[in-house]
Amino acid sequence: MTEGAPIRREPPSDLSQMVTVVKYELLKHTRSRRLIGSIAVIVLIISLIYAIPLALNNPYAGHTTLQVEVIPYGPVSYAFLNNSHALNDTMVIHVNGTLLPRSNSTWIFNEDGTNRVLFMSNLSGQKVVADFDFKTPAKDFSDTFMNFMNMLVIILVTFFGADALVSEYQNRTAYLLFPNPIRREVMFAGKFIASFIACLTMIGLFYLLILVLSLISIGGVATYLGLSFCFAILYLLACLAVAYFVSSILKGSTGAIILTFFLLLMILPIVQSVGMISGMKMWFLLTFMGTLPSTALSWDNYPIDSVQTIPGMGFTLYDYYPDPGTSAIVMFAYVVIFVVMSIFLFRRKELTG
Amino acid sequence: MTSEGIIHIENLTKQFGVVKAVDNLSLDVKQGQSVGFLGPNGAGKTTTIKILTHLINATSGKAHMMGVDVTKEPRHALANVGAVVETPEFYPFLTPIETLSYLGRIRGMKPSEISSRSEELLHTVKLTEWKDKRIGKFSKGMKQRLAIAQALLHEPEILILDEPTSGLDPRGMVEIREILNHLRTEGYTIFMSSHLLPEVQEVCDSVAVIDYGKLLVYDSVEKLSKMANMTRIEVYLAEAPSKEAVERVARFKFVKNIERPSPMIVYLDYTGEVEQRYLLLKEMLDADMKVISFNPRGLALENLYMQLIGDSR
Repeated sequence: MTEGAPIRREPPSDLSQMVTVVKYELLKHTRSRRLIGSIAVIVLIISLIYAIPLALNNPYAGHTTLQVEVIPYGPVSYAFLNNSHALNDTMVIHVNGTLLPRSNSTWIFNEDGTNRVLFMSNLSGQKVVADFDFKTPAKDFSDTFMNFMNMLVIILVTFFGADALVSEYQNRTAYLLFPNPIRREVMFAGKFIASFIACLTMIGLFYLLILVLSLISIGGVATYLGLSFCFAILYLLACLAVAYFVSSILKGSTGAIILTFFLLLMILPIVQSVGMISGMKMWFLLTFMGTLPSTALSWDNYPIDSVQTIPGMGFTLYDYYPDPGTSAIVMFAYVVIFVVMSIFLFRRKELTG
Repeated sequence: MTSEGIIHIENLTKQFGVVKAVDNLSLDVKQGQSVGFLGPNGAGKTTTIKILTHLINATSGKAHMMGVDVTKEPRHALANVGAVVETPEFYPFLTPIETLSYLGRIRGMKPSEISSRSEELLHTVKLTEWKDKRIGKFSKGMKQRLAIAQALLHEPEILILDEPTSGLDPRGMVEIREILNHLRTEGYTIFMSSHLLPEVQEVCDSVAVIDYGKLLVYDSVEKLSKMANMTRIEVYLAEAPSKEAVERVARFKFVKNIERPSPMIVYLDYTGEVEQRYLLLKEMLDADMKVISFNPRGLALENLYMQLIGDSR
């Protein structure tokens, strides 16, 4: 035994303690199976989304030659290309093996998304071949992956946030950590920041993979991919705050994990769907803002709300999109409100078990 | 610093619904004192310790550590406290070295100090070989030893221990008691709950007994032993005594109780000092009992405890 006499100490600053908590929480995360699981899920989903079109012989970019079916229309005729990403500048038309020179008096290609080639003469009955390069627009390429974004955020906050607080009680690690000279709110902040960093790293990996694949496959990146990333971060923060709130009110890790997952994946979306059917825009629901990372890609041509009445069906379909400004404020409010409530509950929670 | 003890509990009450787990408890522990906190299950020991370590809040009353109210300023009150409450669990992904480093930083220790103290303490609790292994694989006894190490890490003035030898094998218990005895000589203030009365008698200089959340008695081990004024003698016999001999000894004026766990072993509880013990031995020999061993078991505290708890319940 070489114990010395007791030493009188002062606790370190809150900031220093918070940094310590962040560091060791991150160490826990990096060694957990959840981190490896998250990386595996991201890589698997991205690979699948990327590979399926290729497996179905629908490459993202390339060169193709195809015979088109010409439809007569009075003195002129037209044809639709079976490829929505044809590049106008590269297009060449051959009629019966002979090049049809390009001019406004011979043929034009509509770049309005109809993929229609308009011939100034009636070419019906003749063998017309279109030869062109094609390339998926960068926005569309990135958007393909964004369908998974909402799900990814839900998985991540469930993995790294849902039981962050409650597990301290259930696993009895609180008996080790709480009798220390550290405020509960500092402990909370350290844990929350560590969870956020872990989730953010995964989201960052997701966007990085999209960026790399986009550069490799189509040689460019969506203009608003960065903006989409910003909205994804804000959405992540709001979801994480809700997950921490669940973690602060429940008594068991399993319950907290299940409730967080189904709350964000099913319960809120069901409420949202009911609103959609009844014509109510649920702008205040967290999951309503889950599409923002996707819609942000169309920032310069942002989708607008629409109402469609289905003829003969007797009901109306409402198609609502989150307003970026309002949504940003609402998500920020979610973060503040749920973090404050979680801290309040975490401070009051007693270790009575 | 006022004249109050380094641990000062005043009218402390904790109510869970209609149940008062701690009922108006007042207790002072002086600096350097080693106090055993005794009571049956549900007496309020752990609840009191949880209030002292800010794991739960008091309903009313004061709990001061070095003059700072732990219920109001837990951060400063716990700065010089090392605690083992129940059997804590550790983060399974961390190693003992990493765990001690984590807690040391939270407590404001310098990295070099953490490093040297960790090595020293892990050696003390015999976990040096396991220092870089993840705690997830540890046994309960190993975790308990690590819990003791983390409590001592920052050389706190106050040690609060809730059944510190729980989960340890006999050898581990002896080792922890040795550590605690050494800490006592170094001037640490120890406040420990335990079910093991011989352990308390060995490690502590004072004892507080509570039941139903109320303090029944609080005094030095020496005074309480005298208060009990009853000693248990363990007698081993060469052959089983006759019924008449046993009855004769049982009727002897100093004998309060007699038990026979086996034909050739007799437990005698008697009141008195050395003189009475001699007379008792003589009486046994006169009754033709073939005594081959006659040793006091020193459980005066146990007897007192049983008496107090019996009266309380």
